[in-house]
Amino acid sequence: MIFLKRSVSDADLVAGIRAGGVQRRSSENRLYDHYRYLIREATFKHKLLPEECASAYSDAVLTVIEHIASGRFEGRSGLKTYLYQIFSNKCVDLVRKNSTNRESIHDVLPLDNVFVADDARNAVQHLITEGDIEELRKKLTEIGDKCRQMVLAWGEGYSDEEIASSMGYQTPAVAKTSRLRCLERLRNLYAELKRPL
Amino acid sequence: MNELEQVDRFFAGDMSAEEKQAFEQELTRNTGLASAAAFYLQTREAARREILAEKRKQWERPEENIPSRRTLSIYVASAAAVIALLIGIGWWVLRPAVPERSELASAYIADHLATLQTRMGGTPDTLQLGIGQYNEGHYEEAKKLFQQWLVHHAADSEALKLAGITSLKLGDYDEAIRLFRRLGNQPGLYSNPGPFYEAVARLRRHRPEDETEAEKLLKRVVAEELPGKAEAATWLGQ
Repeated sequence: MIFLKRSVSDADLVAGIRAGGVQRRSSENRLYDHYRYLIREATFKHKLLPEECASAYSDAVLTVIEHIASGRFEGRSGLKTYLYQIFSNKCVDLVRKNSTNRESIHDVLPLDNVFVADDARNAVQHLITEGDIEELRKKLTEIGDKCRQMVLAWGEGYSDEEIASSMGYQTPAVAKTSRLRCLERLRNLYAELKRPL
Repeated sequence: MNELEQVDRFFAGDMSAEEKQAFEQELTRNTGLASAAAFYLQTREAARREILAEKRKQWERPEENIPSRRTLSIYVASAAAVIALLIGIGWWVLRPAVPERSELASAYIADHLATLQTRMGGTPDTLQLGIGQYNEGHYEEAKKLFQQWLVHHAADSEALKLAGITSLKLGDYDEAIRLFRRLGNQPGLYSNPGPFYEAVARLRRHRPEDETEAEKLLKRVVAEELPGKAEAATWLGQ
């Protein structure tokens, strides 16, 4: 019953995502569904497989959600334009990756906007590898359900205040201490993995 | 302050411009700090990929379930729009405000599980202490006490219920579901609240399979007249 659906405005979606909790989840799903037809268009435009486009679209939607929640999306362009731009870039990356059939180490996690100084960026960039990220994903299952949940919430861009509220910590400071303790636990597991035999 | 704390402050934007500059300079000299920064960024990316994998499972339903915006002919669309407008106006005026089940579950937790009833006599001290901690908002302490009791009294239905409710309150839905499932599977209980609470926990966790599982549980609650029957019937729209 598409005609009975209330239209979703950008303002509704942005406000819903910024509200957090159940409203955020619901708005995220609505955002995904609202512009889902872009997948089909991109399949023709970029000559990619539908599942490749679907994956790039999900990634783009998640990026837009992160930008909305963090305030990086300021509403200067429409949500559709913003999403479309990010989605198109991800499709182009995918086309490039398919055509070269390799992943450059520097594409794993671009740090261009993270550091001001090139030296600092280089010092960290060469330590980042695709293999380590995937190993860390596996190790996330070994730090306990609660820690995993907390690290995932942080990875999704939730603030310590939101984590405290949703996970029942008394203050954001307590949530932050617990989060850092969970990261330390993961780092120890990761160090064991990297230790030479 | 250890390396991870420094890195966290940097990436959280909690440093002044001078501190940021000093931190970046330190990165080039201190391999331990650079390694902590790399670990931090890689972990954030790993967490993001996990989230993305979960979202993809949830979002990427088969295409045939989604109406295409491009295939309706203009004539069909125009005729349908007129009908839809009339129906839509009627629906808009008469529409019932039906919140989603997950919202109902949140409201239930807020309304009914804000405090636990203190029982006089018959309830072991450890559980009473746990209830006291819960009612003062010390959920972690309450959880420890209930779990401590369960170590030696694994089949204590009251302790399973209390531990499950505390996990629910803490947002540890996986643990809450496990405890309520154990409670729900206990035979011979006169009045078993396990299935209803498990449904509440699933509705809050909101994974793709949870909606279906919660619906089955709510139907069971209604059919077997278990605690929570009134809420279950309302949530099922009966």
